[in-house]
Amino acid sequence: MNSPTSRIPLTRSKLGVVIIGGVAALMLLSSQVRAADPGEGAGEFGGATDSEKPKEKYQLQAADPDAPKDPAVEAAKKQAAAEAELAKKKPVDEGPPIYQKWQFWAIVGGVLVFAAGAAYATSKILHSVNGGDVAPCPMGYLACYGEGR
Amino acid sequence: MKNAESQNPKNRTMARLFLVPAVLWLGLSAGACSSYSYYDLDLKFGSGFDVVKIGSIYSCHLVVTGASSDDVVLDPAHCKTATTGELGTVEYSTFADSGNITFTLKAFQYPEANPNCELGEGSTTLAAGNAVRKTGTVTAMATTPAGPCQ
Repeated sequence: MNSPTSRIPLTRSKLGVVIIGGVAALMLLSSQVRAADPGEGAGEFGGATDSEKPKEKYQLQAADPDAPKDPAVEAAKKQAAAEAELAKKKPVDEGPPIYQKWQFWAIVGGVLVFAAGAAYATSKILHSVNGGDVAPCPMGYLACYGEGR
Repeated sequence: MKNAESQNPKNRTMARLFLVPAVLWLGLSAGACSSYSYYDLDLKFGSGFDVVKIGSIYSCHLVVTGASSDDVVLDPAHCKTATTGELGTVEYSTFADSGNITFTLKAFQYPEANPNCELGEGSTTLAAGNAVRKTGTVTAMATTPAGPCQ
């Protein structure tokens, strides 16, 4: 029942499907492998060697106390430390001095005016309390004597 | 129990700033009000003072004793020219406000330090008062010295 003309397309189409399925499987497999081990994968495609693999991280060793110290370096370190300490101790800039502020002079002026007024008022009060001004000498009198004169 | 605000040094300083003037003011008010009293005195040379005696006057004193004390030296030119016996009116002011004040007029020849050189004197006493004006007459009478004026 099957003709050769009809058999060939079927075979080709099946073959194409198989090839495409195989390629897809290979690609899927390779992506899975790459995800599982990226280092090896990189080596696969980039041609990486063992020397280019990430090395183990080392921490810096502390200064060797036995190593000879350069006096100039030590002095420079000390000076830097002293300068840093001095910079820390520097007063915080609080703006211009207080005598350059108008509020200061306003207060000083107010105090001076108040003091002058208080002194004047006090002198007047004391004068009044002490009898005030003596009456002027009446006209036609020979002279006037006593307290306040 | 003390108030917390009153314990704050700033508040205490402010309180003193207001308290001191207040106390000062009260103190001034409490001791306040001295007032002048005025005494108008008509000074005269009375009996025994003739023109010669008045003309020999070297100095005149108005001595104040009692509630007030003073020794006023009058202008001698006025004294020795008051040949009519009327010297004139003087005013004396004082803060004395109670008791009596005695005004004494004395006339002297030179040298006045010698008691025998006193020509005469006279006085009047007035009651002192607060812020009053009173008048009085002081008439000096001639006296006879115990010895010579030298």
